[in-house]
Amino acid sequence: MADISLFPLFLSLRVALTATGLAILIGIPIAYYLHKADSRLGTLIDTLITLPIVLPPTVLGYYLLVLLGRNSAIGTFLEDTFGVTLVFTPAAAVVAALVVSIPFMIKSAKTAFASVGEDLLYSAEILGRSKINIFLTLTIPLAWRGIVAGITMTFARALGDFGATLMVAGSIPNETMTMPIAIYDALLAGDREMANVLVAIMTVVALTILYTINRLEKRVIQG
Amino acid sequence: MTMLEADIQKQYPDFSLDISFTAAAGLTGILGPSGCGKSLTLQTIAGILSPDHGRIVMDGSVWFDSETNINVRPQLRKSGYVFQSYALFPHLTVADNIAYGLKGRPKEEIRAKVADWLRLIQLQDFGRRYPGQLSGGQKQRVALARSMITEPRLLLLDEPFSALDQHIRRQLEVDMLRLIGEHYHGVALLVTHNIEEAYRLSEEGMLFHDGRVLQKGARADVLTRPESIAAAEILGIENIFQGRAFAVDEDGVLMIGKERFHKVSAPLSGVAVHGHTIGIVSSDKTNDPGIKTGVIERVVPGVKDGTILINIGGLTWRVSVRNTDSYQIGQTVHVSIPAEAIMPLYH
Repeated sequence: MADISLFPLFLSLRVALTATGLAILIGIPIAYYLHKADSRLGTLIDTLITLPIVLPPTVLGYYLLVLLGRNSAIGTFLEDTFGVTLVFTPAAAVVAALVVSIPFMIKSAKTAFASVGEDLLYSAEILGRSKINIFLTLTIPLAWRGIVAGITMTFARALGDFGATLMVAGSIPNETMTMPIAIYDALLAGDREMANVLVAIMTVVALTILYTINRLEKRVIQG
Repeated sequence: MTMLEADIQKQYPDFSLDISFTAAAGLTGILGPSGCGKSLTLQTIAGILSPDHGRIVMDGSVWFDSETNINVRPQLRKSGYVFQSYALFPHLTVADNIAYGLKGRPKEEIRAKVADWLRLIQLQDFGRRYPGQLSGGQKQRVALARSMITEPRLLLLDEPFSALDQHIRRQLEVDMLRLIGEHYHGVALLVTHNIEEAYRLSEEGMLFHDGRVLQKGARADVLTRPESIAAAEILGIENIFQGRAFAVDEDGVLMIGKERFHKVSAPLSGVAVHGHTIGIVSSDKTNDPGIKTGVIERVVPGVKDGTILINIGGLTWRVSVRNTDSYQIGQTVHVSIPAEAIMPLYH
């Protein structure tokens, strides 16, 4: 095993971390909105958000390609205004990972928000606390377990994505080749040894991260 | 004189709330079946819900007025609300729960006040525990302290004892009533569906039914002398005669079943008789129109009082007795139903 490049591992981690961060920033406000909304719009958004869990990743990737490709409105706009192309870059891998993983963030956070008793929130209001203060001192701490579960699943899903990433980011070595793609690539090239090593690394890394998150979660809740 | 004036109308798809009352300082009990709008009323007064129309005025300051578009936020109404579910914050200690409404005050003041209240609710060693480690009665004492510490202008108690076991409930009632009596002098509303609890705890009473105030007044009147069929049903009065079960003949004499009673004046929609105001007497000794004869249909033993069902003039009357042992089905008995025991129901 002469030259095993760890680039795919670091790219995968970077992509998954970035996607998870974005999923937290975008997903939590959406989840908060959805847990309160009982309108048709709310149900529609909820359904659309569940879609990526059900659709094959290649279908999602295809949609993203159509939506963000060089010939699309967004693609043209980005290219003309900023001179950047999104597809077949690490940024596209982040977008793909985000789209496949954000439903887990939203679903978990939404359930967690809904589980915070109404009476508690009413009590806090009557006791004089502002809505934003209540959100920060009650809603978030009480929904924390569900939010952490959502973050964990989001990260796991983002780290493991293959199909959507391959469609929009491709498999350019040392540029957009993430770990799952590198494993597939090694297997296709008949490099069993490489594939074994990458699979082992991936398994150990995933286990370590998930175990750490679980420990952290327990500590936060007990503390 | 501290005073709450509430006039609340709110429309739901299958329910309408149309409540109007004033309450003076002291404890006013609100009694009614579940779904009658008791809790909605309290939540509206606290500001959690907004009425469609109406006016809520506390001590002269307007909290809500649909005409002038005033709707003071719950944060600024400064009422105290005690929930049936306790609504303690599970991630905060008992002390932090009690201090929650004092945000912004000096740290020293908060510490001293919380210590005072922990002592008052007899949980001085529990400040660092979490609500999950307390019993139901302890939790509700913490919830009361959390409200009272803010010196609320109005105290709203929303079935505070309903989630508790019977033996704890009585003790907590005594404790909470003492605390409120000693440390609070304003208007307090107590929602309950337990008539005994309403009687024990409040001075004034209100009966709610289907989103309306049925009856209001001193507790002895409201809780024992209903004026309407719905009120008699809420109070659980054993004998309610309405429709074809009763009539007023051309001489103005009340007929219940086939039996004639005394003269009555106003047009009635029914009459109600408490089972315990009917006495079993030894013989049909006089021509007293209140003495009737009937046959026992059923005997229902009870822990404290038993009930015997007696057919009098073709109708079944429920009569409370201390001990049911000496009565048998089919036995003929004489009962005394005094005129003052027969309560006229006007609507």
